[in-house]
Amino acid sequence: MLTLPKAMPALPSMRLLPFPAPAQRAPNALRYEGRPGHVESWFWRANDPDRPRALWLKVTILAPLSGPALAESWFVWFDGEKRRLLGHRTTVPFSEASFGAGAEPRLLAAGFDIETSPIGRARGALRASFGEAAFDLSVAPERSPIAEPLALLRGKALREGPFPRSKLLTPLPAARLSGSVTLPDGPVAIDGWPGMQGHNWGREHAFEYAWGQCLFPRAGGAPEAMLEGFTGRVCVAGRRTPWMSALVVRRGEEELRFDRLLDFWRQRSEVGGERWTLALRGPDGEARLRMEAAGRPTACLGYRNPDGRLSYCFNSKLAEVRLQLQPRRGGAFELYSEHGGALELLRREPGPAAGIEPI
Amino acid sequence: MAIAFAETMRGWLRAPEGEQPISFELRASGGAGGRFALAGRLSFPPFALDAPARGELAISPRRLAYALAFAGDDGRRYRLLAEKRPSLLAPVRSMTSMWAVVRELDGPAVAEGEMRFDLRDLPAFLASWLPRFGR
Repeated sequence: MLTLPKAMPALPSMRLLPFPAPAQRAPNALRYEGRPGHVESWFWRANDPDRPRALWLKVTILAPLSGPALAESWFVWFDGEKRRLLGHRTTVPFSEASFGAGAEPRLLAAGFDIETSPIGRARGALRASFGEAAFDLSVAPERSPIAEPLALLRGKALREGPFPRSKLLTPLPAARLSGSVTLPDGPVAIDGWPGMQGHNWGREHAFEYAWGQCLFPRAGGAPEAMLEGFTGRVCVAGRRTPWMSALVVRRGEEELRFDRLLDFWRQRSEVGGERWTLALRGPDGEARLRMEAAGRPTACLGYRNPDGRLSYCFNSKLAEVRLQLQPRRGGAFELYSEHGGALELLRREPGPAAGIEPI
Repeated sequence: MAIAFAETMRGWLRAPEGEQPISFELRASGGAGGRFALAGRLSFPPFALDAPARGELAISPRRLAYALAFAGDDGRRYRLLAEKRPSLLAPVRSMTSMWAVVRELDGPAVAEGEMRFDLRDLPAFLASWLPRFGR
């Protein structure tokens, strides 16, 4: 168990790897260098704290192995009360977009204009098959240690080096989004909804994974908390590796890390159609996680890889989350969210969405 | 002479809702007649989170019996009853694990399962032993 530092953790690099650990770059800095074979995305989420509603925004770069690079914007509105999902993707040539430079780039792509600075603004408009939509939001970090940038991959080499081929960082694990979203049937006020912002990049999308994130407000004297984790496997020399998992839990000023990716003896996971379960043991204790989105609006997103293959991402922002923790130091506790979990399940086959046209 | 020591145990108990984590950190003091007073904190979500717990540890050659009382977050009173049975055939396991049952006070069992002493806690456990002299 760690006490959270005030800045991005300077974790030790894996010195046995046959390449030097690259310099650490700002979490939101653009990684695309103009070469073919690259995917990169910045994404935001906000959940209504009281009702099963959520907004998800994403801006991506796709640089195919052959052909011109593309920029895309994604908008998905999840409404569990109306059992409705409004999703749309806009694609434009990369040359028509601007991704800025520096540590906190401003993203101008396919109708979106988003500042990635810690106190940023996100604006955008789209014309979709379901009608017109727009948003105008401010994004501010939660005033809590749980909002410090988070890296699930421990070590600079893993975060910035060639393996694994896809990287993930969470520059803003806990944020407040305020403003409004305009849907075809009227505006929705976003009054300080809890949310987050992430940043992914790599030479392709990971082969298969489950990824989840959830925020838990202060309750009953317990401090605010967040979790983020994944179970994934990659292809090495054409063969699938075993599932590897990692989980980080922050609660107040404490951080519990379960991130020994190759410690297969102490991790059990199950990645189902609309469910992800995970049990991990490590020096910080024991964790059991269950995330489920069955019966809730779930988007099927088509993620194109640079080689042209399509990956299918089943994406819910209204998942039920239960996390049980048995820390090595301190008492056992449980975190529960009825509909505040972000759950993404990515696979190469359409699976349960066969016949559904992905967004 | 009295004795005092601290002990931490953790486990997962099976309740109707599924397995739930449980842990306690207790200070034992006394020892006269093989009886120690227990006081500390117990967490057993969702029943109780970091609740004060009090009770007794009774040690005899054949068993170590724990009886703890604590108040649940729902206002109900609960008891944790657990027992270690030392065995020469499995000395470490028999002294580091015990079957535990949580009951409503004078009511039915709400959960049961195994609790363990983590051997990584052994140095702290040994360091906690203190003789106490006087009355």
